[in-house]
Amino acid sequence: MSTRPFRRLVVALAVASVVLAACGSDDGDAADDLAGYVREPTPTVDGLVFVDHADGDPTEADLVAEPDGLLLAYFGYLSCPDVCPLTMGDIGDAIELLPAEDAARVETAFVTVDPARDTGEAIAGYLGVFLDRYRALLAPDDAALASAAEQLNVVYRIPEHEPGEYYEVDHSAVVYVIDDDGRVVREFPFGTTSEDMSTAIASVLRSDEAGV
Amino acid sequence: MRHRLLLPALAVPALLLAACGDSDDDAAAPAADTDPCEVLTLTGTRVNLPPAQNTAAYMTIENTGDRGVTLTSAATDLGTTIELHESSMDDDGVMSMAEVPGGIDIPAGDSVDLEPGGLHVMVMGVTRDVEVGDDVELTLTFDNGCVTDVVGPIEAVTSGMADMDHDHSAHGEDGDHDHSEHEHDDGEHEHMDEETGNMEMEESDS
Repeated sequence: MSTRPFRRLVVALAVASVVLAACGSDDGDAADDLAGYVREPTPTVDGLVFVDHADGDPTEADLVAEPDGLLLAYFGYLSCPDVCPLTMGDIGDAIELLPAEDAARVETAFVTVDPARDTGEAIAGYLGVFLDRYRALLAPDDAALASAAEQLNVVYRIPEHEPGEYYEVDHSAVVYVIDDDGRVVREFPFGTTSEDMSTAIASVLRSDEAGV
Repeated sequence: MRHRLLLPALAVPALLLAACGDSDDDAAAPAADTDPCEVLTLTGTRVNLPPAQNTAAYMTIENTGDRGVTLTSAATDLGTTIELHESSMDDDGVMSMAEVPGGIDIPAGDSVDLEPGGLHVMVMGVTRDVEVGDDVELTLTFDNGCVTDVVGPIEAVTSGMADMDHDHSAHGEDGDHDHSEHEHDDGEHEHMDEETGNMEMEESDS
């Protein structure tokens, strides 16, 4: 019993240090207390072309949000059993925590960094577990994927392997929040909770309305 | 061959006994052959809904003994190859995953969380279609001679803390282990699990 207040304190301190770490981890611009960080200069996606398999029929897509909306973009791969599903699940929870009118403005994009093994159909099937509105994206070729990664500062490394041999892919585990101009207005590192993501997304939606 | 099959079968009733037999009246005192699983408590077992051919299983392992114990291997018929893995992130936010050499150590009197973004049981080559709520059985082998089965549900796992609090009524599942947990804690412990879960996430990053 007597240890409880102490535990609370420990947790409060842990949370506080996480918040501090989040604010201090990158450029000073993130003077707000929202989760994640804003990179300077703000990256902008431009001229990217993907194939979206969300609706069965492949259609062309990019990484720009719909008008007045936000796109949460993540680069991962389906053989990733641990951090990718967690992140998709947390994004799903974060969107669910938003008021309905906000949630309707938020879409998610999963870009596979492992196009040799991941099919569009499999990506779409998986995203459908967590999300209502999503883009299940395959780059049309390696160069297109590389240029998307370059614009967003995504790192991915496919190890050398024999045909058919199992391999794991190192990759940036970051959620990029992209607005309707293609600007990356915020980034959430791995481990950002759904609650914190949700709060930050709601705030970004407001600031966008204010025309910032 | 037969012996192998027999071991887990024996381990389960032994664990049940351990769970129920908290009282020391049944003079099992002769230290001759105490159950090595007695010092280990498994809670919160769950398995990620497989995104494709791989998935991951998580749990908390508590070692109440006075010696360190190592989880050396895991098995389940959900996959063709089962390994103990750890995800780790570098300073640039790049995540990678590797097998844990030598297994996962659970220090004496301590507990270790297998959790998203850190240590996990890696299940490769998923063998069958599963849905959220389906139960999966895992057999865990420790270096102190304990071989034990644990059952956990398939979940669309989200970050640990939120996870514990909602919509997992189907999550009491692994009956025997649950009992054993309730025995030597008293509700207070659940708080601690949550909280240490919180902090150990940071530890496992380093």
